[in-house]
Amino acid sequence: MEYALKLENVTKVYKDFMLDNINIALPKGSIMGFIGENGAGKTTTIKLILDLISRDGGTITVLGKENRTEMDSVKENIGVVLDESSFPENLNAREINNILKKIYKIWDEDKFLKFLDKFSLPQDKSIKDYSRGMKMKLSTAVSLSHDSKILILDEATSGLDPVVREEILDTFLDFIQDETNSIFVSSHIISDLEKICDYITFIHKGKIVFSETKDELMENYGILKCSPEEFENIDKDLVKGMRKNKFGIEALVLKNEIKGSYLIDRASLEDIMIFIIKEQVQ
Amino acid sequence: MTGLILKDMLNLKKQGKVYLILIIFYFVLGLVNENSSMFTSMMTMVAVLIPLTAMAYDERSNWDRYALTMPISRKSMVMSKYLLGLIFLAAAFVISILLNMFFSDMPIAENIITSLVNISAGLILMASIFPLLFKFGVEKGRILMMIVIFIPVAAVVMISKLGVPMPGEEQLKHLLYFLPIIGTLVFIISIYVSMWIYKKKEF
Repeated sequence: MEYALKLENVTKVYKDFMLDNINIALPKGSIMGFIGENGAGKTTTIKLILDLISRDGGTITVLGKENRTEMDSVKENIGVVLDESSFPENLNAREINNILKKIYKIWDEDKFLKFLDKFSLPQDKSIKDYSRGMKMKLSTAVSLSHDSKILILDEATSGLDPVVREEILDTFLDFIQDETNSIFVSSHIISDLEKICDYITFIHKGKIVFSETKDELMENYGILKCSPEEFENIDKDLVKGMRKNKFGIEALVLKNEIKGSYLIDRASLEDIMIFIIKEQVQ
Repeated sequence: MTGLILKDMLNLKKQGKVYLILIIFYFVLGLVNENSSMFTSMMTMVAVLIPLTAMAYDERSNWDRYALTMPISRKSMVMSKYLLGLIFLAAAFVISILLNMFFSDMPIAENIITSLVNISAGLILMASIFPLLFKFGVEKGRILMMIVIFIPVAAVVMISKLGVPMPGEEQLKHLLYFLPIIGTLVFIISIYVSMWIYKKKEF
């Protein structure tokens, strides 16, 4: 399989935090959601992919190119949206168009202007007068108006209202219609990712907990509801997290391997994430 | 690179107007006094301040982090700021020579040398503060910058207080002839130092 993005044993050590042997493989043509709490290591991982910070170990390839030595040849094909818009604030969208025309070899001016229209972004207004949602829409427009083959998005939808989020997500889905394109998107708004992703990678305290297809996750995990007595009889290897309440016990389990008849509900991505994080805290 | 310089020019349009008024003021002052030295020093200061202001804006909007995800190398990021300063220094040089040529009776050789000395001072100033700005950012770098400017002044005062004989006029003149060469050299070294600093920077 061809990979749009591949991280092998990537490590980054800080004084109080460590990214520990990260392995991620995003097949071409798919969308991978990168989930985890604030501070789990999502942004650090994305910075490592973009070579904005140096790594202490492992290898990273983007579109088949090593990201430190061969990145220049591939930057034309990477679209990036970071958690905050980063254009100097006195510029307006028209000026940004003129600047990026000079920076990207292939810059699709028509497409960019159409995006401005579609997102109702005024061309003559300074960036400093844009709202956060407008800034994110502007970055999104930029990321799609050059020769992008992979989008790398860091919290691109956080802090936006549902309408804007929907608009941006739709644009991403359009982009992925071309089967050679891929998206790597980090977010803690899990419902967004549940809608669009093929793969889900879950990072917790600098470690990858799982990296699987969404369908597999949905199929494998379930929420078991039972009494404390019943819970005693369940193989604890199959329990990935649990919580007690006054009605009994709720537990995240590998549902296909549980023998016997129990009440098992569908687990949402959010359930999976929360149960696993709680389990690690205990 | 042109994209980056265009970005700074467009972003600084507003400051540009203020600088322009300042420059015109000193230009007129120079005309009236038939002496362009104030004007040239002013232009030199502005030439140094422009890339510095551009850096402050970049820093505030976290531009560098974003720009490095585009097809822009770390080297170009550094070079563009030096070039920006150089463009305005060159403009200062040309205008200052023209001003002296048409509005004063300064001999042409003296004219060129005074302008060169002024520009060299700009080069040396830029060369000494840019690496600090790239290393520490504009906010912290600003304080260090003051120190950098203060040290030579303090040194000169100290030396004169200690009774070390000051160089004579002849020696000073020789020094002035060498200043453009020293300025250029220091400027080039500074570019390499900044690139080395920037290469290791984490965003």
